[in-house]
Amino acid sequence: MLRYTLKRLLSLAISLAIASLLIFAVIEVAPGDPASFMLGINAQEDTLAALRAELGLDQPKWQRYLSWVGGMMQGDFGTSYQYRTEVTDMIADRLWVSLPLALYALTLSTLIAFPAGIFAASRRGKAGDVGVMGATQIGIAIPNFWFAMMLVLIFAINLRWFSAGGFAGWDKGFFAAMKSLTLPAIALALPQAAILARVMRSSLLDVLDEDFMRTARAKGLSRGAALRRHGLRNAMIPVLTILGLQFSFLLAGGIIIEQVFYLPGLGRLIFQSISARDLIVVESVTMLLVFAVILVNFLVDLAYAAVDPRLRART
Amino acid sequence: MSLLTITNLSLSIAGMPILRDVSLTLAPGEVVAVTGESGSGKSMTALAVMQLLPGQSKATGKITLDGHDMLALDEPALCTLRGDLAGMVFQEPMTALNPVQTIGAQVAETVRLHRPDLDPSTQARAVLDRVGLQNIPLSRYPHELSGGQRQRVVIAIAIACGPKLLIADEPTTALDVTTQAQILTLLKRLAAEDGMGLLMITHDLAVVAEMADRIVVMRDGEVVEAGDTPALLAIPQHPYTRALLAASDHRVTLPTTAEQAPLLRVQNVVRDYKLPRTTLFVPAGTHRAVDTVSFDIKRGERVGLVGESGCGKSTLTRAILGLEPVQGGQITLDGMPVFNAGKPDLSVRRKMQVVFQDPYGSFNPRHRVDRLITEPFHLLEEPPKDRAARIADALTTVGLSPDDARKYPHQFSGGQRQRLAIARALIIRPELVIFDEAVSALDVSVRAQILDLIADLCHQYDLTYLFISHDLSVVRTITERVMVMRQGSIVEEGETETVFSQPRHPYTRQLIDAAPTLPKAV
Repeated sequence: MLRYTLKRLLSLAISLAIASLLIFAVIEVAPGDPASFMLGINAQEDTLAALRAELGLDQPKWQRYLSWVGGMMQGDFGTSYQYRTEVTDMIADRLWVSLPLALYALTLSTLIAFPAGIFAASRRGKAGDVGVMGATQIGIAIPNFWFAMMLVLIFAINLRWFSAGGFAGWDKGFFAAMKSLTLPAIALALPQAAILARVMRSSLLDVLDEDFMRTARAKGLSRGAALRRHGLRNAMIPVLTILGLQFSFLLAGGIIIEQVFYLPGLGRLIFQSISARDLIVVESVTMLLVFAVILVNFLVDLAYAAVDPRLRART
Repeated sequence: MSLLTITNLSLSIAGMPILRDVSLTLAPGEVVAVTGESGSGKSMTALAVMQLLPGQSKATGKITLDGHDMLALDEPALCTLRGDLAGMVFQEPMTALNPVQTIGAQVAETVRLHRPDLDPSTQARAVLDRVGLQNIPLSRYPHELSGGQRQRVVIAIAIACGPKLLIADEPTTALDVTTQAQILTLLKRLAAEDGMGLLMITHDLAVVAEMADRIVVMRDGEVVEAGDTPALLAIPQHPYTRALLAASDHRVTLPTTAEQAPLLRVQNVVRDYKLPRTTLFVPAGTHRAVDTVSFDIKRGERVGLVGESGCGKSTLTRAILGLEPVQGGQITLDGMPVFNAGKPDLSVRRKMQVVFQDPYGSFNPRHRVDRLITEPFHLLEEPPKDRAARIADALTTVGLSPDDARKYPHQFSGGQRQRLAIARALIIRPELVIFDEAVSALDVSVRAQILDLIADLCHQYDLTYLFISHDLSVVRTITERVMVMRQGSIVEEGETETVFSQPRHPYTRQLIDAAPTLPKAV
């Protein structure tokens, strides 16, 4: 297990190095000069040069890459071209919204999907199964921005249980903050839950046909007990894969939902930074998201090994 | 007083009749074998006793197990009986165990379910010791064990609570002969020690002959004959039983061939596999699957290759076919190397064809027969002009009709599909045919027909072949010379009859002794 973990860690480090090079290269190739963008088209050439020197844009590329990577390692992402504030602080503020939102949505989706998938699998072909599968079909088909607006209409405007948008802030207390994240989390979670429930069901159905499930029944386990004790863990690998992908998606992919609910999250930050050519912010947020995805994959790999002893042995 | 009584059991699944009026009895301590070919309903009879039938099953009649009316009990009551009063062992030990739980946990679970007064892990240890796994810790996972060891774990799960009835459904079909012999001995010993009734389901009459007190022969969901083993085998009453016995011990006569020049030469062949890397900067290790093997096959010769799983026979086959490069030595067909300058030589490849074991897996289900059996044409310089005539000829040769050319493989039975595989191999008139376990998946009566077909083709075409099998009785009748392979090397080679009647190598003797045989017909 230790060797497996170390190997995964090594591959994590290599992936990060390659990703940082790619991100840097792509941003370099992209047209547009941040200095002229900041000063406007009428700026004097010597003012531009002074600003470029101040931003470090006149240094050779490799030197800028190294100082960017070196800075990130120390938690310093540089200074935003547009706002002239520390990128680290900007990201941290946004992360305090996006990360809890992603975790909240993921928890909700898991809590809905697992029981729904297990229920459907244990009633294969019966009314319960058909009902759950129909519901997930709808869940996947509905666009989440429409669903988000419906939630606002019903729970914020008509029932007035929640506010229609904005983020209360953590200084208002845990429950106030979580309350303002609830509608967005539901809007994000439902389509994910629908997908996850389907994966859970089909994965469980595959396992139910396995010989060892018959062995379990021959021992005297009831159908339900056999499914819980022998089926679930064997069905987890595909489910964990999807969970990992969903978390990465939820962290940055909530941009539409962030717009609908007017939340100051990472998605909106990256959108605004691209419009403003604030390349240092774009680079940093992208790198952060890449790091998150790779880290989640690493955790999913560890979870695979925890679930299936055969993977531990194969390293 | 019998332990198990099945009276007039009829079963249908989704309206399809599976069993009709099956009756049998089993006394405590008795070994009863239910035998028959695939589709005879023998496994369904076993599952009906456990009430583990697939969905949409409807059973009528009566099954009484130790006083319990099994068809009348509800599910919770059945759950308390399964694993406690009756245990079951299945065919496929590789998949019958949960891969993510330790074997100790899986054995202990049966104990925990039915014997709350016992300590589960102590009892699990004791049971695993009883089935001969004294040196295997409880913390092992199934993938760390061999097939035979896994089957012992499955048996341990079944007997952990000391059941009165043990049902074994083809318990040794997936195992090598030497392992099979050990598992059969174990089952017999356990039944005798515990006074347990043993219901054996098997297609193999030879296994039955050595194990059972009584035999029940089934066909198409019905019992055709039942009786004490010696009497039933000596004087079978029903024609089907007689046919089954004859087919199990089927003999063919091969034409004699004149001494000729060698066709296939295998010289000092070595085949290494790379093992997965364990450490990043250390080169990966290798596993030697075939170790300096040399032999010749002369034109017109019928040669057998026997050995247990993992002995290297399949690896050797792939090397002969030029599918994989060898790491040492040379393989030549008619003087030409099969593997030339890093790739297989097509002009050599077209002189050999292969027939595989699985008549289901070796055909693309979406292609029609004419396309399937003409696949080897791509080896030729240009496709033959008389394509239709060749197809008709090939189909007729293997006992099928030219009209079958436009059918799909699923429209044929297993035996017919194996005939198609032979037609595919013969259509370009190869000089050498390799039969790789070609009859191993077939029922005995179908197997007898295919063996007849091969013998017949020998008379017609002077066929040269290499017949690879783990089944000694088949190799004995269908080959003139045999090679015994073990751990990558050929340990014995000689005239088939001589090797079988006077084996020189201890391993050959061990194989022959382990193989179950039918008593000689009187």
